[in-house]
This record gives sequence, structure tokens and C-alpha cells, in this order.
Amino acid sequence: MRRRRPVKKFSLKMKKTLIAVMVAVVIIFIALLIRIFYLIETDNDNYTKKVLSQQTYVSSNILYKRGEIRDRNGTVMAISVKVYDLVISPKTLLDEDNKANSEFSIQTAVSCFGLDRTELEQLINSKPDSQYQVIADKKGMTLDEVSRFEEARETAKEEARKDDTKPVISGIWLEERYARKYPMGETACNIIGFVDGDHGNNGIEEYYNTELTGSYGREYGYFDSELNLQRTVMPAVDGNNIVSTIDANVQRIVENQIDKLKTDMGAENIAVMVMDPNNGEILAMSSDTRYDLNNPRNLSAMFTESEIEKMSDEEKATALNELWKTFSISHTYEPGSTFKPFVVAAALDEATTNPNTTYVCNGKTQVGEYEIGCANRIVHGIVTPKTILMESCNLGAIQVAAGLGRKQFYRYMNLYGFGQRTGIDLNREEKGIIHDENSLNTVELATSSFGQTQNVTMVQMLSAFCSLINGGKYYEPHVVKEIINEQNAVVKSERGKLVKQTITEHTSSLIRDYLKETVSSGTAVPAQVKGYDIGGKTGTAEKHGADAEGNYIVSFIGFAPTDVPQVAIYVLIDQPAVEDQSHSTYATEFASKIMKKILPFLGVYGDTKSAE
Amino acid sequence: MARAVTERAKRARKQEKLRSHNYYDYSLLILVMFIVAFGLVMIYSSSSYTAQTSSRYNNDAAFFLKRQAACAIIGIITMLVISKINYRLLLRRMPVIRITYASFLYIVACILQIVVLFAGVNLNGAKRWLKIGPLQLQPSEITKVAVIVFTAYIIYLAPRMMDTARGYIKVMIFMAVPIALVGKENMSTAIVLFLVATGVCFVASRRKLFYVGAFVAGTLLGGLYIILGAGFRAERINIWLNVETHEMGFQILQGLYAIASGGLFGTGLGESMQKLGFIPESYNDMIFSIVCEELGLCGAIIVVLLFIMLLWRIFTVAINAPDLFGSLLCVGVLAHIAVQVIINIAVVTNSIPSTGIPLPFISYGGTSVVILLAEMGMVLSVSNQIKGY
Repeated sequence: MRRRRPVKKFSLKMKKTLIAVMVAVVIIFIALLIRIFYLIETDNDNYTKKVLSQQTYVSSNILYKRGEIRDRNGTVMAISVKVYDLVISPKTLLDEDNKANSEFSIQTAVSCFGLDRTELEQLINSKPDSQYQVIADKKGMTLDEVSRFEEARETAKEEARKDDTKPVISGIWLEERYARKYPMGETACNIIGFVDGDHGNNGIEEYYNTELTGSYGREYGYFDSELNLQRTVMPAVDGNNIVSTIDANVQRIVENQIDKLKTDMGAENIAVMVMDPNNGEILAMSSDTRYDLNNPRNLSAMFTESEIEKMSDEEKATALNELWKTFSISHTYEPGSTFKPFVVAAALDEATTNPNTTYVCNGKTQVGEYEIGCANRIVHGIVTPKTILMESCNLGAIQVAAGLGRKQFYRYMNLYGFGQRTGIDLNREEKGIIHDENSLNTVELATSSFGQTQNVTMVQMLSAFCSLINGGKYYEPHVVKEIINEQNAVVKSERGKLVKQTITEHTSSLIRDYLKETVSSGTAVPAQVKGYDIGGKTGTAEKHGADAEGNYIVSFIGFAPTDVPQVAIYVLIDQPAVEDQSHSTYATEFASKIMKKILPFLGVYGDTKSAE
Repeated sequence: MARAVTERAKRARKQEKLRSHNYYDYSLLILVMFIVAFGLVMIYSSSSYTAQTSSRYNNDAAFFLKRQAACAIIGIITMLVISKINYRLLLRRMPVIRITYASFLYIVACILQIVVLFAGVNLNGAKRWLKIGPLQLQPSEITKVAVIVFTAYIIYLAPRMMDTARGYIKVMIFMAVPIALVGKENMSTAIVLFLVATGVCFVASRRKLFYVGAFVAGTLLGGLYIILGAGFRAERINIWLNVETHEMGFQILQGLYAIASGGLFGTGLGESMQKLGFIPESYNDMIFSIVCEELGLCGAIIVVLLFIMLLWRIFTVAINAPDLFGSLLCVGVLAHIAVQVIINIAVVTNSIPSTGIPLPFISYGGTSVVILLAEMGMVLSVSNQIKGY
């Protein structure tokens, strides 16, 4: 038989003990919280600073390499290379206990780097407590320059391991860092940009800074449960490489031509843009204001030495900003007659005119209270849309614009992207100023029709022009083609962003035809290039403003070949340094010279049959 | 009339049913779930940077979170299942081998500890993990449950024995096997085991004087051991006393930086800077310093309050348990959690020399969270046997 045992219970005594234990636990908890409070009270400021200071200290342990910038053919335009700075610690070198090592270290450094021994000793003795002195003229050395010293250091270390009476190098060491180099100097400076510290300034370096920047790696140690030091290395991640749409050869040719014109003739500004009309890729873009990317703060191209010395910091900053300005995207101006194709295309598109419509030009006309005339008061007689462009007839353009009306005119201005940023992948793009619909009265409409009283940028003009000749497709202009990572895999590719349709295919083909005629037998004849079919339009714009009287901007906007355009070009000469500026010939001849040189490079070959 | 009688009978039956209805500590359940969820948030916050920047973790920011969440789910299911099994099952004999489940658990734990000494996976220089297929587990965690259960079991068999020093020594002879096996590779867990077993004995004993004597003797012996200096353990004391200047105080000092820079309200959830590689494996034992940095003193107080509430619920179950075994189980679990929380926070705040003990439910560690939840399941099981009125 089984006897049921009484249930054993948790006795009162035990309960009391447990309560006591609970109280003890709570008291310990409170003590620990007080301990935390005490830590915060006494060390908050001090430790917060430490947290922040070590953040930058440890973070800079392993360097990353900033991405390269290459042109469309793979030519390197910006690259980061490892360089070495020579650093000494006078305190260590002067340490009595370290005498043998110091003597050996100084000797090795002197012989490897060709240092002046007395100068070095002077530096050491002048800062006896310093532990960190960079030798000023041994900064940024290449691997070749430092390899002898490194070898000597390694050998000494090896020998000292076998025989510990041998000296080692201490108190002198090399520090590595990456330096940004621009192998092509000032070529495409506005498109490439440069680097300030860790951050890009201007151009692709600035706009694509996050892509180019990698992340620092870290090396840190911690102790495991047995208190052994464990080293963990978090490798650095290098930045992505960027392939630009720029063709370095074309860019260089364009820049050479600009420089040549600048010395031969002279002008306030000369600027050229070359674009692929089929995708918005910018192939070349330059002006006469350029700077050396390897030395971007050098103002000597603009000022004499004594002038620079006299400048305040503020003046210097203004001057530098002027130097770094990208003319093609930041400078706004009145374009002149190169604007007429846009007006004619709009009117054709809206059928307010057609290829056979005729207008009468008798040299001048009264618009509101102003008298407006064609250039040199030429009487063009009866004109059609085609001859308006060919002869650059202002009065015809005025009538076409009047027919189009303010509403449609304003709508097309927006469609072409005037008065708006194009969205090019560069910073500091300007918008320009156009008349809004309400202020487009008869006078404004008339003057706008031949490109006066409205301000535009070069990139706006050329991007919109590409849409006129490529069948009406407006592509966003861009300077970056691809982003490639360390392993050469494409991270992002810009195939040309089609933004909108500006005009119809049919209108576009008419404009191509008119502009072809303009070059073959109109006002733009000097733009011809032997063997090529070129189309384009000239422009001679009067400058307005206090001291702008009698000053002109002459320009040419064109494309080749005329049947299927492959290249669009825009050249602009602001105030050519000649007696009588108002001749677009300066621009057309200039454009012809450039095209002759660059077209073969861009794979556009001439038709031998049309060669004379 | 007849209808009224049946009505009354029905009501009586209903009441009877209500009276016999078993209690279940839902507050404890919800509290545990909340702490686990909070732990997951903190693990994500402290580990995402490390995980993201290391290809070892597939550069997946949620790497640690996912693994811990999976373990937490397994743990919660385990907890719910255990809570529905009567804990007295542990006192029954197993079908074939005729030993009680409690003894069986003890033997299994000891065997696992022996196996890990020979076939363990070496991680960070210590053999603590067993690899079974894709699973990796830490037998020392299982040993914790075994020690709690087996201590309660021995005392339950002869409660009066505990009134003398001999009883305590007898318990400790049994416990010496697993504690020594654990201590070979993992001293800090051995200390936890020792304290848990001692705690249960202390509560069960009617004579406390012996424990006071033992405490004094232990302190003296410990002090002597340190002064006579055994290698790195003496070093640890040195680090503890000179944490700012000692070159090996790096990890603890970084933790202190984190706590002090957090201030009263912290830098904000996810805003810790110390987790960016300065506190190594900050999602592990040092996670409390990240809690302090991100949530400040207020966050620390809330975490401690959560633990006090949790201990309070376990305490209530212990007091009301239907029998001594249930009470002692709860006391064991209570001691386990209290000891780990105290040691962890004390280490992080440099109040005691450094030793690696995770913060229960919050630190990263799969086995740890599953086992802790299983223990909570045991407490819930005890609560489920309390007859409600």
C-alpha cells in the first residue's frame, strides 16, 4: 500500500528570505544606476569629446582611393596616386636612450633622400618637444623616391632581429596618402573639376562626389575573454570610377583652336560646345577661361604677381570663382539670330506658316514705338521661311513670330527649355531669363523672334538645337556616360535621357534642309568644310547695357552631316577684338576650322564626291 | 420551481469550474515578450553598422537581427510549450532508464560539457560551441537550466538537510561536476552557476549564519588568490583599477565613453557612435553601454525597471507556487536572471573587473535567449499550477 506524502511547501521562513533577496537585488540595481549617473555627471563632457575625437582619429586609419575620371575612350583625366610624406619626431631623435638608433636613422634619411644634414639637425633642435614634423620639401614623394629608404629600414629591422645590438630606424617614418593628379592639366577643367580635401569642387568631381568617394577602412583591436589582443581590419572601399562623355582629343583640339583665336584676334570670351544630337552626350565644352586642375588656386593667368599680393581674401575668392566659372552653363546672354530656327520651327509645327508662305521684307518696320530693321537695312524683298533662315531676315522672323502669337510662342519657349535649367550633371547652371506670356507684347515678341531681349545659356541653346535637327527629341545634356566600380562592373549607365518631343519629325527635316541651304548658299557659307554636308545658322547679337554699345556676340550653331546628324556644334565669340564686331563671319570661319579637325575624330567622314 | 433549481445547479457548476480554473501569469508572459522585442531593436541598432560593412556578414545590415529573431521565435514557442507541461513531470521517472527527468537533464548537461571539451568549435580562442549540423549551441547555457532544476530537485527531496552546512556541501558536491566542466573554458559562466546554486540553497536554508561565514571566507580566499597573483586574472584587476591608463582597458574604456557621452537622454536610437567599430561586438556583452549611449540614463532606468518587474513576477509565482519544488525552480530562475543582469551592468560600468556575461534577453546570442525563454516557460508552468479562486 502506498502512503501519500504530505505536499512539501515553501515555508514562511523561505518566503521571508526570498523577500530579503529581492530587496538586496533591487538595492544593487539602484546602486548600479547611481554608478551610471555618477559616470555621466563626472565624465560626460570629457568622454563625449573623446568619443568625437577618436571618431576622426581611428577613421582615418586605412585610406580609400578616390575613383578615376576617364574620357569616353578611356583616357585618364583624373586619378588618385599614392604619395609619401617624410615625417620626423625630433623628440624621439633627441632621446638619450635612443642615441644609436637616432644617428643611424638620420644618416639613412640623409643619404636616401639627399637631405641637408645641418638643416635637418637645425629643424630637430628647433622643435625638441615635437613628435610630428613633416619635412616640407619631402612631401608627396612617389614610390620610387621612397623605395630606397623603405628597403634600408626593412634590412635594418631584419638585422636587428638577428642581433639586437644593431640599430633600427626610429623617429623617422613615411606617411602615405592619396594625391589627386590631373594628367591633362587644364584640359576640360570645367568638366572635370578638382578636389579640395575630401570634397570635389566644380565639375564631375563635385557633382559626382558621392560616387567618387569611397569609405575609409579601419583597423582596431579588442581583447577576447583571455585578454589577447584581436586585430580586426575593415578594408577601405575605393570610390567608383567615372567615364565621361567627353572625348579628350576633341576637347584638346577645341581648346587649342580657342587659344589660337584668342591670340590671333582676341575677344572678351570665346566658347565652344560639341554635342552628340542623338543622346545629349557632350563631347567637348570649353572656353578661353581655363585653369590648371593640378593648381586650381593659381591666379597668375588672370593677374600679375603684384596685383595678387594686393588682393584681400575676399577679392581672391571672387577672382577664383570667376576663374572656375563654366561659361557654357553659367553665362547668360542674348543669342541673336541663331534663335530664328527655333521660331520658324515652332511656326511650322503649329502650321501658322508653311514652307510656301511668303512675307515681305522692306528693310525696316515700325513695331510699336520702335523702328526695327534687318542687318545693314538690307531689303530682302519676298521671303519664305526657308529664306528667312538663309538670309537671316529679321523682318520675316518678326512676322512669323507675330503669326505664331504670344501664347504659342511662350509655349514653345518652355518646350525648348529656355528659362529653365537643362538638368546637365554639373553644378551652378543658370536658367536665363525669358519673357513670360503676359509681357510678350508686340515689341517683345518681335525682338525675341531674332534672339534679342531674352537671355539664354549655351547649353540651353545647343540642347534645344539638337532636338530641332534630330527629329524633335529633346535629350537631357550630360557629361557622364557611365559609373564603374572597382571591379570594372558598370554601376550606372547614362544612355541619354529622352525628356520630351519638341517638334515633329517632319518639321525637323524641313529645318535640317533650310539650315543646310543656309550653309551652302546663305549667310553661313564660311562655315563650310570641304567634303562635308554642314547645316547651321549664324548669329550676331547686339549687347545691351551701360558700356556695351557697339559690342556684339557673334556665333554659329550647326551640325553635320545634314541627312543624319552625328555632331552638333555651337561656337560663340563675345566681343571680338576688331573694329567692326558685327560680322558673324568670325564665328562661322572659326566653326569651320574646328569642325574640319574634329569631325574625323568623331567618326564622321567626308563625302569625297562633294569635295572640290 | 424545478426550473429555479436547475438554474442554481448550473450556476454552482459554473462557479466550481471557475474555482478550479488554473492561473496563468499573463503579465509575466507579456513582460518577457516586451523585453525580447526591445532586445531585438537594440541588437539591430548596435549591429547593423558592423554587419553592413563586413562581407563576413554578407554586408546585410539585418544579419544579426534576423538570426536573433529566428532564435527568439524558437524560444517563444519553446516557452509556450513548456508552460503548458506540468513542471512536476521533472520529478517523475523516465520510462526505460528509471531515473527522474531532473536527474536525466543533469546527466545530459554533464555529458554535453565533456563532449564540448573534446569536439567543441573553437571561436575566439575558447571551445564553447557544439556544432550539430547547421546548428551551433553553447552547452554551458543548457547546464544553467540543469543546475537550476537539479538544485531544486535535491533540496526538494530533503528540505530539512539544508538547515545545516552539510546540506549545502552535499548540493555543492553534485554541482561541482558541471561547474568545474564549464569553468575549464568559461570562468564567468561557472561563477554564475555557482551563485545561482548558492542562491537557491540560501533561500531554502533556515540557518543563514553559515552562509555569512562562507561569504567572508570566500572573499578572503578570493582576495588572497588575486594578491598572490595568478596570471591574467590579476591583470584584470589591474585593468579594472586603472581603466583609463591601462593599455588593455580599451574595451571597457570605450564602453565608459559610450555611457558617459550618452548623458541623461542619450544621443537617440540608432545614433550611437561607439558602435561604429569602437566597442568591438557591441551587440554582445557590451550592449548595455550602447543602450546607455543611445537612450541615456533614462533608457538605463527603464531597462532596469523592466528587469525588476520581471523578477517581481517570478517572485510572486515563487511565493504562490503549489509546492516547494515549484518555488525553488522559480527561485533558481530568479537568481539566474538577477545575477546575470547585475554582473553584466557592473562590468559595463566598470564596477567590477571585466568578465563576459550577456545581458539576459537583450544581448545577442541564440542559445542564451532560447534557454532563458525555456526557463520562463518553467516559471509559467509553475504559475499554471496555482489554483485560482
